[in-house]
Amino acid sequence: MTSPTLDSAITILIVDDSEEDRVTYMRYLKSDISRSYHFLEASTLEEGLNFWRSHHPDLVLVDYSLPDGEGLELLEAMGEGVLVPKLEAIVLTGHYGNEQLILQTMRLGAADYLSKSEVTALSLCNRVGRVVDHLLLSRKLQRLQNQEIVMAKIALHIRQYFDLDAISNAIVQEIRIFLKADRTVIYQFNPDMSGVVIAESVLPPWETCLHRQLSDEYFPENMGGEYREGRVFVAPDIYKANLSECHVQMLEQFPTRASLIVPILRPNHLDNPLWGLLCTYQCFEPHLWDELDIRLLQQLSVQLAIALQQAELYRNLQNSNTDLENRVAERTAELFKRQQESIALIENSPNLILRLDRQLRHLYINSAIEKILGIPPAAFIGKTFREMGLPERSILIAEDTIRTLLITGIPQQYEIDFPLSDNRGIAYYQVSVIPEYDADGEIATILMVYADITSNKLGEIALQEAHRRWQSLLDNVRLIVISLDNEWKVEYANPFFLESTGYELEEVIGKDWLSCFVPQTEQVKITQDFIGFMGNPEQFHKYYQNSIVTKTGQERVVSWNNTILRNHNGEIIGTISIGEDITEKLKVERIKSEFISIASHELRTPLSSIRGALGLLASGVLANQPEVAQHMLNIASSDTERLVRLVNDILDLERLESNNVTLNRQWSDTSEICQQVIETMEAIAAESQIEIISNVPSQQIFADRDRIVQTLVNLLSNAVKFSMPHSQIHLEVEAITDEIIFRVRDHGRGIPESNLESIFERFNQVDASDSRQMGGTGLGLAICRSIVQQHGGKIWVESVVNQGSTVSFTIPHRI
Amino acid sequence: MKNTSSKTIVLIDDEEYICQIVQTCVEVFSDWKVIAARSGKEGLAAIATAQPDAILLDILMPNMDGFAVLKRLKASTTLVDIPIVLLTARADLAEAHKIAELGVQGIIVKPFHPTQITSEISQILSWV
Repeated sequence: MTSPTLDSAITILIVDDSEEDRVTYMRYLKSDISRSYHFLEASTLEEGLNFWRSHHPDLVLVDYSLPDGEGLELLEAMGEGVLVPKLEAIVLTGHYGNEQLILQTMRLGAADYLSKSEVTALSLCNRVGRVVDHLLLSRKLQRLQNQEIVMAKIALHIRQYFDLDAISNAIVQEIRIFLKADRTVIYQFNPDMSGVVIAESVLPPWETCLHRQLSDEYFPENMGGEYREGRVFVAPDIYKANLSECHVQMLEQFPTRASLIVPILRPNHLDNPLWGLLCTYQCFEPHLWDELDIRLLQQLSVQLAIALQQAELYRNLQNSNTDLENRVAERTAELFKRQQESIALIENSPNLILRLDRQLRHLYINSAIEKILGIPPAAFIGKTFREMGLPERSILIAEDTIRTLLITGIPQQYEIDFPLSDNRGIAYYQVSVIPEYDADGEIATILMVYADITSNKLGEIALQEAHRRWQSLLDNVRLIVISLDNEWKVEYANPFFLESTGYELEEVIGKDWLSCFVPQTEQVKITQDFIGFMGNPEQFHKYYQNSIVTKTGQERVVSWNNTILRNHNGEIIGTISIGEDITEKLKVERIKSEFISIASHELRTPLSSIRGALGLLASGVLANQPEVAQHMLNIASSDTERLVRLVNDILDLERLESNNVTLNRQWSDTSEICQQVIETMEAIAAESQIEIISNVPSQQIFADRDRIVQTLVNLLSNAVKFSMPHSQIHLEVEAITDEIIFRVRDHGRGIPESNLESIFERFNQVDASDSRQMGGTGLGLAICRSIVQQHGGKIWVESVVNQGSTVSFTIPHRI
Repeated sequence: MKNTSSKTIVLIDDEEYICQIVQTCVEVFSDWKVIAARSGKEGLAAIATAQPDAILLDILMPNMDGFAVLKRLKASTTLVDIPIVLLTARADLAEAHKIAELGVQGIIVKPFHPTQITSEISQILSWV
């Protein structure tokens, strides 16, 4: 590919009827080796005119005198403007020095005048050379001028159009016309060096190749590289340009015979400046491309590159604008949608929303008001709460709150309740009062939002009520209630716990349960039993029994019912335990158990005798031993009596201790009571040779007379049993402020000090065999104590071993 | 049926009637000799003197109860091997492991059956 300097040969038409002259002129002119001429020969005016019209010679050498007319007619024909306006003609004449002729020739526009007589090789060459130089210069100037015009037009297009397509189309059109080419195209590369024709100007009948795609194989790397470096491809004839077969095939696609291709480079794209190609083709015949054409095309490619940049910028701007417009449109649509949604939301909100002016007139109120008060929103507009006749209490609190808001500018909140329309009950609202400012920063309007909290409020009220009930229950229940946190710290202790243990609340709350309230001996076991239950609630002991320590150090046994406490996430947050103090219950159970055990023994003993005696009798083995048999009968009889007494005493004591016996209290005289006792015991005492001495004042006593008699008989009976014959027993009564004291004093063997308390326990005589030997059941003193306690009195014994005992009991005057 | 092999038994019980009935039963239904003692102290003396073939021992007695008597017997090298049968109202002692713990051969719970007491003693002590 080369860009040679092109210089076309000058075509000279010689019109002269003298063949000899014509040959001479041609010989002369050919002698000028600095120039190259083509010659056309005409011997007549007509022939000359025809050649002029058909071949457009560059220069005409015309003889003045021609057989069919004057050479000046040819000048006139050339000068008519329908042909070529410039008259590059030299008139040859045999009339030397004819000034008129010279003047006429010049007037007609001839470039020069030459007398045939003066024609020499030198003169002719000089004259023709001068005209040719002028001609070429004129043409060049004309061309340059035309180029300027084309450039100006294209620059105008570039300024006029921002659209690349419009610019490209205008450029190819101008170039094709200017270069008189058959086809001009702009070809744009893709990144892979394939490409497409994006603009075209083509003369008929050639088919358009607009949008034609070319694969990358036509632009191998070396060629693409040369284009990138700004090289121009010039091929006056593709078949003589030593092109590759592939290249020729590509060019034939358009089709083309002569090609002029300049690259379009974008200087600001350093990595790949090659944007495309500006191609001009002569399709039919070879064409010698003028250097000016090449420069023009190069300049235009630069203009095109500028246009590309401009278009790119414009497109970016357009895109930005479009993008911006789209975004604005989207945002506007979104805002509109949101506004619509907000309006719909506000209108359909269950909350009451309203806006007031500073005079507390309604500017807006949503439709919730109709559901609440049964009044349409429109009725509120322009009116105050007061004008709408709302409940006085709600008006006052609203006005008060708004006044505070207007002074402080701080949003306010309050709760209010008012009755719903149609007797639908009370609704509770949380009211938010929010200031709305104008452009000057002044509060212009007030927004009020009434959030319906009825269900929450009712739930809260129900919760408070439930809490109050539980609290009341916990405060009053006669059970211990303790709540511990996860670290076994006391979170709650009910009053009964405090009452049972003697602690103050502040001595309990927050204290470690184990170390403060559990006996040290049980702490390890409890820790082991409850260890790990936090991680595995299945190990939790729902029912548990352990001791607690009171403030005075006493231990109380408590039976617990434990419950795990969890938060709303189901996580364990502690325990709550309800406990029953079973200390007394256990004691009673133990005593009962012991009693049953002893009673069982006491019952089995006479039963053994009875069974043994009767069994022997029934077997008949004593048939021959009547004395033994009789003795057995006596044993059976005696122990049957004993058994009856025992059973009676057990039942009597049980009734007394279980409070199943109602005392038949009445006013009685102590002396009468004691008299009855002495009468009962007198015979028995006399049998033991014991004297009963009584010193009983007459006092009124409010008591169950029979039970007092039973007690005194029992005490006297014991005294008789344990007194020596010929001794005395004293029965005394003493009245003091609040009570009457009965005393039974003997001079018997006495009771060791260690047994003074236990003798009142059941089956707990000083010597168990005593009761049997003395015919007792071992329950007498226990029964006495129970009777005395039932009357609100107390019983005790004072004794000195071997000197005697005094059993005393008191009966209050009145309980 | 009368048991013919002659044995001596010391009976310790604070209940006079029980002593009399047991004595009568044993004498009627066997030819064993019963020495009755009305307290633990009295019983230990009788055992030491008579060296009986067996001891019938009540538990609930005043002053020295049956457990105290047992302790003394177990502590005595000469008396430790005399078989003991408890005759008591303490039905709770009739469990095998308690009998073993106490170191006695068996127990007859009051109220006992008068015609069967000798056969029960024979069975407990494996007296054929």
